[in-house]
Amino acid sequence: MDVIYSPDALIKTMDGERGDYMAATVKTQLGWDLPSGRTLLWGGEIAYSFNRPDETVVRMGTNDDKKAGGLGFQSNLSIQNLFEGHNLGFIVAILEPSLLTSSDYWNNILLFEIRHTVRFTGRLSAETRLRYRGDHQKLSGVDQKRWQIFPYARLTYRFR
Amino acid sequence: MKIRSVISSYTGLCHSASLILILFINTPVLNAQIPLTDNDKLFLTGDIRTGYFGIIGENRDGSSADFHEIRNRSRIGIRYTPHQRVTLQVRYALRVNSRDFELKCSLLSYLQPGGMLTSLYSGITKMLRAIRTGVRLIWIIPIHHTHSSPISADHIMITL
Repeated sequence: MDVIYSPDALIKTMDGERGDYMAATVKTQLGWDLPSGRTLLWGGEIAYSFNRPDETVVRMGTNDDKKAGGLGFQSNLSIQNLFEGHNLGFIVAILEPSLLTSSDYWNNILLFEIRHTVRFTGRLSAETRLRYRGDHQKLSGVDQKRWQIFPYARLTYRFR
Repeated sequence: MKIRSVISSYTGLCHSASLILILFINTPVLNAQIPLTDNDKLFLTGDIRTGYFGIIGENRDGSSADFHEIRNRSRIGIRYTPHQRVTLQVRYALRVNSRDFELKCSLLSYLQPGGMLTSLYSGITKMLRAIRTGVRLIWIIPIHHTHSSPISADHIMITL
């Protein structure tokens, strides 16, 4: 369990009133060593932010009396050594607007991801990933939800 | 079936990028290294990573968010271990992508006066500005604990 506290980090109202940000996450990971030599990993995580801004601050509505949602959920499944040197992973995540995440992620997000890594030799490896991320809820005053699909493939060589 | 301990060093949903990286990138953290001297104190380290990265999607106003690029990251550095408990690392990292060079498929764009040179100069300038330097000092301090101690550890690692 993690508890995150950031003093004065949150803008709570449209008037600019600031407040402390406080959130907690609970997470677990289970692993099974399968007889075939593969390893199955499952991880899950739930997060909640206790101090939440008004909906209007995060453009989720027009009601100043209502707070934006602060619940987050993430689950992932990974199969290691699916074939020799090959690892495969899946992720699904939903974060409501009040959760402050890293700069690589949005709040108010719906995310799916599949990732594959393969090690050809001790020096050469490759990784491919396909990630979908989109707005979990539609913002007020916009035409539609934002959505993006990120494909990438990369090769890494460690010289010796 | 074995249930692994839930001890985790990742930082959770509030920093989901870190979490996902740790769970799904199973490539070793250590870089390749070349001994520069016979006494195994000085090493040359580094790697080269090249790949495709893209986005396919739509913004909230309905406009396209598409882009595609080829990225390269090259890292080179020196690891100095004057003592078995002290390591000093210095590393340079250069990141460059195809969009830095404004590569154009049209031959005419390169035949224009200064077209190719301007693009090349602009790209090289961006590359040089993108060089990042990292310095890290690792200090391992042995600790002595009694058998009655609830914490089983024999050293503390300090990284600066």
